[in-house]
Amino acid sequence: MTAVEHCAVKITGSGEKTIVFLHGYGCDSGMWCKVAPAFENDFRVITYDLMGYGKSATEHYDPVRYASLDGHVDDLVAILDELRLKDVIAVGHSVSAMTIGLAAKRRPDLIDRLVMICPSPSYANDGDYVGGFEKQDLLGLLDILDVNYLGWARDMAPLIMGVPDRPALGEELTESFCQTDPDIARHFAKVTFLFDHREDVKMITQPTLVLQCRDDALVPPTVWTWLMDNMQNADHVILDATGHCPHVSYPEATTEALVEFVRPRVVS
Amino acid sequence: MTEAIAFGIDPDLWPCGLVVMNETGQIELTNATLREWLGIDPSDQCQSLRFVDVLSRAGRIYFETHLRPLLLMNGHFAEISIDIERSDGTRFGVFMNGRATLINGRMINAHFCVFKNEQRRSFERELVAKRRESDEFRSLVRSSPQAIVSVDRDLIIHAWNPAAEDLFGYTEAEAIGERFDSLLVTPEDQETMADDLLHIATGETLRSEAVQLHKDGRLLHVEKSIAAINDKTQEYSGFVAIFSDISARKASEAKIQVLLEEINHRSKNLLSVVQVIARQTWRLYKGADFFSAFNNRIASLTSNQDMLISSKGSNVDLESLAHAQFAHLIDPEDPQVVISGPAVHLSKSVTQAIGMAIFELVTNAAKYGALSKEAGAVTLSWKINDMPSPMLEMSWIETDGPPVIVPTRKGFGYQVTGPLLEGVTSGQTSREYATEGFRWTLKAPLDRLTQ
Repeated sequence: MTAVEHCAVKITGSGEKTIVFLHGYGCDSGMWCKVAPAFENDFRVITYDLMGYGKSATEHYDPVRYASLDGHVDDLVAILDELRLKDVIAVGHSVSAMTIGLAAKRRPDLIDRLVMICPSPSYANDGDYVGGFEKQDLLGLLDILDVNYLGWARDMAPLIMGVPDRPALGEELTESFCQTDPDIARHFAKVTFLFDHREDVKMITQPTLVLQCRDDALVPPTVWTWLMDNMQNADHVILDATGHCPHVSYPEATTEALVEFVRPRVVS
Repeated sequence: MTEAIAFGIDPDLWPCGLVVMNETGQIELTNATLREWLGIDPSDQCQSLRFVDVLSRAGRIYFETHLRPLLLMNGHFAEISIDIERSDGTRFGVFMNGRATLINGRMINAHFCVFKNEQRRSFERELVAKRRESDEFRSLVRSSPQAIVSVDRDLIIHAWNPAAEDLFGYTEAEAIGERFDSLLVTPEDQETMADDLLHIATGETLRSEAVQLHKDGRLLHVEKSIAAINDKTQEYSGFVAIFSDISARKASEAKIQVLLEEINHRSKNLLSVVQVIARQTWRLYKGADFFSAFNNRIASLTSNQDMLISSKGSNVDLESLAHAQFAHLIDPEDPQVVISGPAVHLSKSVTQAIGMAIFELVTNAAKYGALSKEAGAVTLSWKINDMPSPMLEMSWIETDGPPVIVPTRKGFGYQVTGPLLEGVTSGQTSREYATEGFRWTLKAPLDRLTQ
């Protein structure tokens, strides 16, 4: 099985240039449904489910491989290689902002521009660095995950994988949004919230758009400041939006900022 | 709330917390129940707070990564267990349902109702603790180097860990659902097992060494421990058996036993050899001469033993090897012993075995055979027979000794002059307890001896 199949890669739109969207922690590629279509006229648009989420081949979720973001970086690199793509624009939300950053560092030939939506290189406070959370808070998330399966039951797994030729499929998929194997959710929560990628983001040289929401419970302004001070080649845009998922709650504003960034630069 | 009151429904009377959140996440309305739980002034509608501000920090992450997207995509969520946090940092657990008012995919506001679930929460924590415990236990069983098998009261196997796969050769899929006794218990042990089960059912834990069957039919030496599993009503519902492989230990125990027998044999032999040396030396030497001759003979015995025992043997000529085996007993020119044969250069690997065999023959002859009498004689000779391929034919012939007695048991000496030697040299030995004297022969392919 290829990485393209593993991660349920969806290719839409057409254009010289490709944009690949990576969803963040919590849900799946359905998160992009209000933003990605806006790019289909001018770009080849790729969305996919991170391993363990959505319609990915969760039976291949290997806790060792995905014990750090490297496993997800491997997947992104493999997908782009399998599709023979170079110089794509990578858009990553939340934790996936770090995934695309790591991939851009490892394989500069694959990614020539990055968009990081609500990124935080490290959620845990550390000395002068204010990530917004104490380690204890972050571990508390694991307790919440332990008691909230969001309707997940192992019997439902086949439904979530999707069975073609079934009329009720669309409805089921909507219902399955955000449903994740609790063990995987717990594991990925650790990878997402307990790692420190501050040194990694300093190494990104490609032009990067950093989109933050003016009020995000997960990413305090101290983190914006840190990113502004430490990233080599980044534009920082603060959206007049609240929450951690502007592409879901404020799709127009998010799309507008993205369009502005990806539009071919015209020499004035 | 005015509208609601107009309908005769006063939200403040409801025994659950009610909250309305606006599009940006700010609190718009709360009811009195929630404000009371939060310890907030009844007149304060909390409009200065974001909804996430009344959640624990971990709860905020969960809300922003799961619940808000769910509201936006699905329009609702239900039965979420989450902590609400007061401004002083204290918390209480609630169940929460949420519903969004969506217009064109845009969330205008969201309504939440929360139910305190402190009591259920402790039960929930217990469940989580149990789940973690059982996860830990499962990984403990899976990673155990000991084979762990759980069996129900009808002897059907229910659990079979990877170590059991390794030990018994059946995969988990093959073993589960099969009968424990037909898979692992030898026919001889079936009866004992029925008896054992009666003891186990009474709560006894059985620990013993046992022999179990491998998938391929061979027998495995194991150490087993079997204990009953009781259900919630303390009724016997089966047992769990733990096996560790002790075949290596058994093999080394057997090896030690052989070594002990060998040591015992050799020490007794050496002591009788020393007696023989003393007796024979006394025949020829007296006084100070006796001591020096005796010492010389003991020294030559020691050096020959060193050479034979040491595995670092060296290439040796057969004739000098043979002489060395007699050196402690008689002078090489003694007419009692004739050693003759063509030059054969023995390889390291066979030197020890042939030397030990000759030493054994010499010792026996000195203790019971021809060399125990003054008139007795021994001829050790060999030749090479080239047909069909070069063979060494060595013979030991005793004459004029005491009457020959056929030994009643085959001891270590028999091994050294028989099977062990045959194994090392790929040869054949024979022995004959003839009236005129004991005879022994070895025939072995020359290339095996001189390589």
